Amino acid sequence: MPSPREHFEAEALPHLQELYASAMRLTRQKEAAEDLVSEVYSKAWKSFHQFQPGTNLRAWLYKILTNTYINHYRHNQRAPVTLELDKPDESSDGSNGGSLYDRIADTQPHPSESPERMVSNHFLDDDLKTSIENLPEEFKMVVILSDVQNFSYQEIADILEIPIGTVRSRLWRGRRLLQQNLWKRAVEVGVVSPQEHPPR
Amino acid sequence: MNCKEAFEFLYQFLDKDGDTVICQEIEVHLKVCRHCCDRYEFERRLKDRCKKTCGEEPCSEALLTRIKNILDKF
Repeated sequence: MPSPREHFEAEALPHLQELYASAMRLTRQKEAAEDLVSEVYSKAWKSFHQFQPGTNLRAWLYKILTNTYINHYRHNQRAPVTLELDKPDESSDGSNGGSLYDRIADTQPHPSESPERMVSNHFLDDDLKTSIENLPEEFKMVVILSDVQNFSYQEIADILEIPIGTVRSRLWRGRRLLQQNLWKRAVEVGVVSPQEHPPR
Repeated sequence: MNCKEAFEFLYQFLDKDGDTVICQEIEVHLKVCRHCCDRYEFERRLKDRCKKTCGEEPCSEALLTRIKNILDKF
């Protein structure tokens, strides 16, 4: 029979690298990410006796991560989110506004390449990381939990304690903003020319 | 289902979160509509790329040691 410590290490430590990656995207700094992850493991270990075996330990760790990050974020009074949260995006009316796919398809910066191939061929890992890091906090958390860590909508709703409809709307807007950031990055590095980019 | 409806539910289909009937309708639409199929493929690749690029990040031995020291304290 493993001790509680052995049990905790066996269950929780395999998630260290993914928690650290998420902390890096949230905080954007190595030192801050290490502080955040350390705090997550400290809190998780202290309350491990309350954890119910058989429930989702990974989701529980992410709940601690996001709560700790939100509290830390508010405590430090970093730049406030200026976008109106949960308001339906103007692009959700079917007009496709803000879609990177449409921008690439419309402007055809590389006529021989389809937009889907451009995702693989012209965006660097660092472009993607920076584009996620630059999202407003609430959108960033939902995009990380969904697209990076592959949680279901219901799991994200439980982790962030928000309605599932809010998860959907934030994910929609978060992905649109991520694609806008990627487009800006593509313009900066010269993958596309700003002249090719019709304002929307 | 038309293109506008397919676009509206595309993310739920991508995330396997949609109503089963709607997802079946989208699947049928994607088989006959090249434009929507390409759009779906684009979104799927971008999502995959997010996971592959940002899913895990090696952390330092110092961080692991720091965490184990925290566990020793309590």
